[in-house]
Amino acid sequence: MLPILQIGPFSVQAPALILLIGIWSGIFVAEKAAERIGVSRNEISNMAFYAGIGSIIGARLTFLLRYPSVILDRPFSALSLNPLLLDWEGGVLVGILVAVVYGQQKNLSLWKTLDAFTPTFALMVVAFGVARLASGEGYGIPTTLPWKIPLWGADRHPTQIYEALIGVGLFALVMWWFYSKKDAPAGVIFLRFSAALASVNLFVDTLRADTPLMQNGIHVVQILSWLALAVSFFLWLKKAGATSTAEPES
Amino acid sequence: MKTNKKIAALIILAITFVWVMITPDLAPQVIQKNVEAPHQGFVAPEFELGVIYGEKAALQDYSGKVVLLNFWASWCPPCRAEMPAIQEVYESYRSKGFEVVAVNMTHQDSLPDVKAFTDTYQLTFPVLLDEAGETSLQYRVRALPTTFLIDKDGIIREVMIGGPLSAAFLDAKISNLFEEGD
Repeated sequence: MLPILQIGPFSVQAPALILLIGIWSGIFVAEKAAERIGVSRNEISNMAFYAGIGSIIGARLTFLLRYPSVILDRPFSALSLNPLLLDWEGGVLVGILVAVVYGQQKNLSLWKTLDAFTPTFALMVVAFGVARLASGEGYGIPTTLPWKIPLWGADRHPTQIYEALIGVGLFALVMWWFYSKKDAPAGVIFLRFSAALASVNLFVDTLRADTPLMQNGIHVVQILSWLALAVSFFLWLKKAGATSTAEPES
Repeated sequence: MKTNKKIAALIILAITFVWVMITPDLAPQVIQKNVEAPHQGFVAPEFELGVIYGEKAALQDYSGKVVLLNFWASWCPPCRAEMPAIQEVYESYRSKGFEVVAVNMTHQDSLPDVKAFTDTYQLTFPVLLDEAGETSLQYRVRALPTTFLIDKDGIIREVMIGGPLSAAFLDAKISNLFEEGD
């Protein structure tokens, strides 16, 4: 666990830094991948930039909407650099919305764009795993296995390391799909990745101790992953069917 | 070929659905109720320290109250900036069962500076002295200020690393905890 990195006089939040490195390297790879499938590198770069700005502004606005008294008390806190005044769930939603609007404005193909960003998503899985290891979030249930890690008062499954390793595996798989399966229809790389990620999440979430549970003990993340798997399979098969009848990609 | 893929997809979905349903029995979640750790969802670790103008105080003395546990030092600018806000929310919520426990990192500070600080900001809540640095180690404090919001059951509900925290921000977080209890 290393939540804070001391760089000279500055205390840097290590999880945030790891996520930033993940996003930056992910976008770098996405730009390269975009060229390979005929999407403009600049458009991908611009979309990521605007989505990033949108998510930061969205995170602050969502926080202020949740806690309006903060802005009423100190209006200038809306411009504060304090990361505690950010609501990242809302920020991610606003970022996605900005990306969708940008894509529509520029007439980008939804499926090709998702394909181009798939290596970014895979690297984000790695970054999330390492960031959670640094912060101690996403910890596992107690175990006696030889690779247990001592965390929060018990020897636990290193679920964060599992997550990071899965991300590495998925990234390798995605790159292999990009460079070996040139004939795959648009969207198939993204759908395969979604199905693979949802499948492994179904099993890794079993070992998480801080996962949200329903009243009967069923894991919420597993239910969402199962639904994502079902939707990915459905769209993937639909695309395969469309390809076999030689329907052109819009 | 397409039919085979459909059948394979349905089989995978069926197997994984069964997995989701049997997971609660295979790996039941361990309730963190009695585990002490300085992390959200765990019981706040117990400690006892000397008070700046008094005898000794323990976290347990405040059980049944919402507690804001703040680690600070007099030389830390954001600690200085947020202390008036902490004093303000302390005065607002004290009568409802709210307590501030301000632990000074005395092993990295000097007692005269700490006393001057508490006098300057007219702090009325207990200021505890972590002279050996054991409590800050126990709470894994790596940056100042670090603040823990602890509910009436002694469970850490939020860990806030860095600052300064504004009065309105603290007010929003603390009022949420009191609303939950109503």
